[in-house]
Amino acid sequence: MLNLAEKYLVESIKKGDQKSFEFLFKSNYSNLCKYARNIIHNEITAEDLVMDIFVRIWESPEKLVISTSISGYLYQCIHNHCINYLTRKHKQFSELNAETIEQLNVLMPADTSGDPLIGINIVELTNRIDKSIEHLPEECRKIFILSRKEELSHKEIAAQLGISENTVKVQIYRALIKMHILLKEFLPG
Amino acid sequence: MKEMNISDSLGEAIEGYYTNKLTQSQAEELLAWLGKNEENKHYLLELGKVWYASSQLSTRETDANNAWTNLLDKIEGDSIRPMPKPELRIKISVLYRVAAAVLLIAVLGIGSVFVFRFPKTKSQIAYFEAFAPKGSRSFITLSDGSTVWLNSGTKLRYPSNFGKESRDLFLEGEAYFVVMNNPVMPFRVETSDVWITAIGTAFNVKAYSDEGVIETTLEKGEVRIDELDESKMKVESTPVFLKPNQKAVYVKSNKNLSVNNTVQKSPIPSNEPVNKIKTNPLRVDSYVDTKLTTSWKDRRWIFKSEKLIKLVPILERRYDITVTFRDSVLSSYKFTGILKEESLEQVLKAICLAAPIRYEIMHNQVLFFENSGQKNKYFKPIKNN
Repeated sequence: MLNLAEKYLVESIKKGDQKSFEFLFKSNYSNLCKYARNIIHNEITAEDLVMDIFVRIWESPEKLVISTSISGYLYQCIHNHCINYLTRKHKQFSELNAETIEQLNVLMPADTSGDPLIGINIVELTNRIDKSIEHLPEECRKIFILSRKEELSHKEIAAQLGISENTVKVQIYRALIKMHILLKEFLPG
Repeated sequence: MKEMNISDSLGEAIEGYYTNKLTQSQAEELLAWLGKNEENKHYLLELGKVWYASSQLSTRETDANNAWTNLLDKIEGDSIRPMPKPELRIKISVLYRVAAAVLLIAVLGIGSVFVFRFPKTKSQIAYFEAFAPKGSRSFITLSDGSTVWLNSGTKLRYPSNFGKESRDLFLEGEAYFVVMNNPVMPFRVETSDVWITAIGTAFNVKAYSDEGVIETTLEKGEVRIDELDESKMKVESTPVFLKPNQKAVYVKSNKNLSVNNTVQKSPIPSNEPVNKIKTNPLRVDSYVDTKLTTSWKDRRWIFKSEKLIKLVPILERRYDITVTFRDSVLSSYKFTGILKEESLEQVLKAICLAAPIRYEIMHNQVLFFENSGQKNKYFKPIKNN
């Protein structure tokens, strides 16, 4: 549920109030770019996609229907926009043949049923993840921090630590499972 | 859900699924596993939540101000929409009582001073810089025994030989000085535009680079204030001497004004009298309540009939936030109060209780709105007066 002030903000934007819109933009832009970079792995494209979201809101504010929270809504928008972009440009799983991609999409549909953001509060979840980092085994923690906080690629991490890229992948995966166990009560479902 | 037993190769495939780097064989392994049961699909999805949310841990920020300018170009190229004007245009000067009170973020003097050395310059003088970051305050004792309180977002620079041959400091921001008496070695504080000289006194200097004025308030003793020109030399005009409970206000723009006049002289016919509009940028106010100026260094922050627009820079520095006004009328609302150790949330709530204001906060951005529904409630009693 939106709180009163959030409702007010949304109403003002719908009325075309630029100050409110500027506030919405400036308070979310950088975080949405982080989100998009994590999916797109290209800084400029990621920023363009975030920009698209805001241009769309400004041009058709009537479509702004928010049920959970403003930031939740924006994360959802950028998530869908990024996935659409990858699919449209055939950049998603570009190493796979079309049939395999199709099978993946059937099993894990990108629509609402398979939406990873349903029912979670990203801001809160991020805080919990941050607090759980200390519980990771040392090497795993080091790699997870380089990947998540410093945004280093697998290649860069491998070079920096003198390990193979596969080790990086495995450690990141292990970090995810460990986090999942630690945060279980916080994940819906 | 029971714990999953997953091989490293499947783990790599799951990681590849989210990093968009699946090889054909990984994809096949993943598909086989996903096809086994719903539970596996659910598990993959849950790991995804953690993965996507973890993107927010990144410390790499993208400059939103720059992007905002680009966005404006984009949307204004398409269509310019009229902005709604604030409904109320009369100037409101109402004294609101803020019952509650603000904070002191860091315990004074603990942990929040960052002092570092500047590399030695040619003349072999090293400089120290003490810095109180936004959202905290601190205090330091100098080698001559003088004490300095630094307000949020303040830098104080001094040479390593401070107190040996001279007592010179450079200040950007706000500081309160209690100066040890030493008639042979004056204590001098340089700011962007003025130079303050003291022998043994207690005084407050507010010289933030993003504010248009430099204020010097004297509590005890005597100080001398000289204006500095562009090359940081003393201007050869009469200095201002302050007595206790006096405040000198230096208006930076008045200095610029006088410069502008000189430039504009040429188009004016020569028989015109030489433009003498130059307003003295230094003004002295007597009988000021120094507590109002210096209370920031104590646990209490006192303000009296202060416009919201003036309180905002202080709030911004104290809490490391950026404030935007949706309705410009709010900026002239006046507040009086004593704030103690309050959280940002409590201060904002107090403001909203005291005046028809609503706020929205996201990350470190705060937006103030007019609460038009509540406005009548606040203005009625004033009309009755």
